[in-house]
Amino acid sequence: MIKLDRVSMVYPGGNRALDDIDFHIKKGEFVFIVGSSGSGKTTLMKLLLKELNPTSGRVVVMNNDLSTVTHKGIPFIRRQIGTVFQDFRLLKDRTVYDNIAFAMRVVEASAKDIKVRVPELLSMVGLANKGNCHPNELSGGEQQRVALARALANRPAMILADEPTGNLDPNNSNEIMRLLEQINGRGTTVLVVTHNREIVNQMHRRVITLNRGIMMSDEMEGGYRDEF
Amino acid sequence: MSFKAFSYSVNQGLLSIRRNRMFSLASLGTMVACLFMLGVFLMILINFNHIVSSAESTVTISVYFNSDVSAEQIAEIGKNINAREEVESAKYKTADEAWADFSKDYYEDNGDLLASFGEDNPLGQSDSYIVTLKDVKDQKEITKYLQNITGVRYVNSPQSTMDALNRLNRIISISSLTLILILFLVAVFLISNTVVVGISVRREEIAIMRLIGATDHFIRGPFIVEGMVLGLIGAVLPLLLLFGLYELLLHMAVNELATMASWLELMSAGEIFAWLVPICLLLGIGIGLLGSVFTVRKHLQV
Ligand SMILES: Nc1ncnc2c1ncn2[C@@H]1O[C@H](COP(=O)(O)OP(=O)(O)O)[C@@H](O)[C@H]1O
Ligand SMILES: [Mg+2]
Repeated sequence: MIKLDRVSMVYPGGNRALDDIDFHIKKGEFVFIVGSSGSGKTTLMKLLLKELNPTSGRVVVMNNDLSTVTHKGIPFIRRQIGTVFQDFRLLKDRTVYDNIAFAMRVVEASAKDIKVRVPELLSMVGLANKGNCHPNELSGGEQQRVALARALANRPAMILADEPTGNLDPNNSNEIMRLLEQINGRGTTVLVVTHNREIVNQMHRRVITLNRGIMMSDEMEGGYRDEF
Repeated sequence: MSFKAFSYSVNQGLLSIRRNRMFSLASLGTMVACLFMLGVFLMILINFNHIVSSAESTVTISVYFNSDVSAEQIAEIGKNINAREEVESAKYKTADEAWADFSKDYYEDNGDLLASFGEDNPLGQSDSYIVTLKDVKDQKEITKYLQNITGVRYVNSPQSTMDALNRLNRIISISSLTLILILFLVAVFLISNTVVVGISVRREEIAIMRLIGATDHFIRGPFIVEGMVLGLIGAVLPLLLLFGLYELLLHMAVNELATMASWLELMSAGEIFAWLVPICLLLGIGIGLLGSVFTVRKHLQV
């Protein structure tokens, strides 16, 4: 599903954000990427979405070597990846329903499919009665669930979540993680970037630890490590 | 592009025009002014050319003789003129006939003035030939030939008038076209500005669209539509204005002008607008496309 082959990323100006990263994530896995701020986690996400190209090494996502994907091909890779961010990234000028429907319109889903799929997603994340609300009428936890519903709208093979609980209290954080586990339970690969120690330690999942761009460990049933 | 993506682009483009009202209006206003002026200018130019060419083809060359030239000599000269290949016909006109025609043309509505001349013929000994050519382009050469015949007093050719008119025509064309070109550039610039504002208002939305996997066409479509719709409205409005204006002009002018001289007739609205409609539509949509396509290319790169 995801393969990084000796990947390094040096930003213009010489900042080495990732140094010789090597790992392989199989279909259906649930993986945490942990590390303190500035360790290169977001840079890694950007490489997977081909928002950035690595300075050296090879990034393979769903059997596509991203270095061979053309500019025109990028949207079609991204359509198979659902993304969730710390700041939710919802459109404030439209309703919850329209935020989710928007993701489907972008990939030119039919009006009929949208009508069926959006309520399905809303009830899946427990917001069946919030479709007509605007994002600013919702709590942070609810907004993140809308973002998750949007990420799932086009049935992606993989979810990338960059600090999805970064702005949430423990209850809401747990709720988001529960939903991500549930999604993973149905076969979707899930990659969660976080520095939330409690969550990582609770869940006993695979943990890849980064520190200053270097991969420190990759443990199958790991916990949060910060002795580096 | 699928129909769904197309209708999405149209919806979003129209929405963006409404959200962006001030900038949309500014670019529309400039475009309307630009195309309206172009239209007025083209109306003048097309009619001007029409009048010049119908004048050229109907106006004839008159050859007048000295009073000491005998009738036989005049007949001989007439034969020579008629023998020229360029000449369609050379009709002999006595001084009395010329006076009769002239007074009929100019004093018909003014009997008192005509009566004041009494039996005098103010044109005097002006026996003449009225020379009609097969092709106007030979006018200069024939005029020269006629002037060089001995016994000829005066050759009245419309050539010099036409030359002056054509010069005037060229000056008007160049200055108007320069002005229109400047307005055209201003219109492109304003549309481009409108699109830039639209893009910056929707920056967040565009970033999200990218992340979700929207194609470039899908992201750019609404902005191109925005430019094209502005261009289209900017072409249709001045066309309507111009049409009204021209109809009014025809109403007022046709009777007045046509009585002065038959060739001084304006073209019909149909003939004029067969030119104006495609020119304005092409320019309007062209301005809209230029303003939006380049801007979108520049500001919406990944
Ligand atoms: N656009 C950029 N230009 C230059 N340096 C950057 C840029 N983005 C991130 N960095 C640097 O790369 C390193 C890793 O950043 P990032 O991937 O955002 O870390 P994390 O998400 O783990 O906090 C940091 O030192 C950061 O300052
Ligand atoms: Mg980060």
